Amino acid sequence: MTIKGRVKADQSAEVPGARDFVSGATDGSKPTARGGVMRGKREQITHTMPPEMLVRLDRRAKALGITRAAYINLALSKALESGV
Amino acid sequence: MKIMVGHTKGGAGKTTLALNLGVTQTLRGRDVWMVDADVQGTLLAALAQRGDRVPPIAAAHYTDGDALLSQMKQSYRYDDVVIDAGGRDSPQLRAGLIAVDVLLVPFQPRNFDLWALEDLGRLVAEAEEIRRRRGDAPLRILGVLNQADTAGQDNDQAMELATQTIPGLQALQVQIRRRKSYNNAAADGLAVPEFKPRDTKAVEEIEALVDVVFTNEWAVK
Repeated sequence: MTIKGRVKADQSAEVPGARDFVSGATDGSKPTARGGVMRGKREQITHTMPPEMLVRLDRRAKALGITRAAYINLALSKALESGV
Repeated sequence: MKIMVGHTKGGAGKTTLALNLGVTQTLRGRDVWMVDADVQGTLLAALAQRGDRVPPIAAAHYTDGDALLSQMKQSYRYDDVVIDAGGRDSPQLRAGLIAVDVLLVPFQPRNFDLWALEDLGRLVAEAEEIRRRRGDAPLRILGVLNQADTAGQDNDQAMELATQTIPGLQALQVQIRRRKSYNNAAADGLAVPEFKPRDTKAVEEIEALVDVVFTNEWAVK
């Protein structure tokens, strides 16, 4: 038996520009250099947290009138700036 | 012949027309492969409604542009291929623009449908460049008025605007009118020629559309 690696699904690469054209659709998603997925101009990640923290997060975000994601980004950018 | 029913806007009647084209062509004795390239999977769901009805129709569902482009290599097994692309700028729509012979663009004589043609026109231009590099023939682009008005000048004005918006778009003389039989037949996965009670006018419209789409005649206005 021979063990072979999986062939990359890259058949359209035979046509110059075709792959970029197909994956460039606004309704599509392109993998990033890290293998992630872009949603618009943002890279999508999966993140988990303790449920009670999520409850506190949602409560605080609601009080500020912003979305959960916006609050996470806001808090994270402050944390990163302060060198945490 | 490989055709795609496509528009970047939803609600133009793509799935209903794709169903009618594919099934009617099958009834004419052709071996047709129907490809649902919309994530919503409505065409496939409609075909499933056919149950054991004869003749059976081969169908596939691709929600990935690269997969669709790759699988189109299977098209040689069939006389005709009918692709229903979802109403968005999707990878599947773009793959279809590279892979098919004919792009059928249904649009209603309504402003929003016509405005969206500008987006489709840009994609077509990009696809044509790739086709040229591949050595493929240019897309045959056919515009058909769907759910057309029974009176007034909107139909003619809409088609005029469409031909100006998408270079190379050929205006089909046949117009599909708004008829209940299309909706009722589609709910059972049927083309109007199969549907009882028979709607003669709808059948004539679809037969005429199939005639012009699956031939190389340029029956244009």
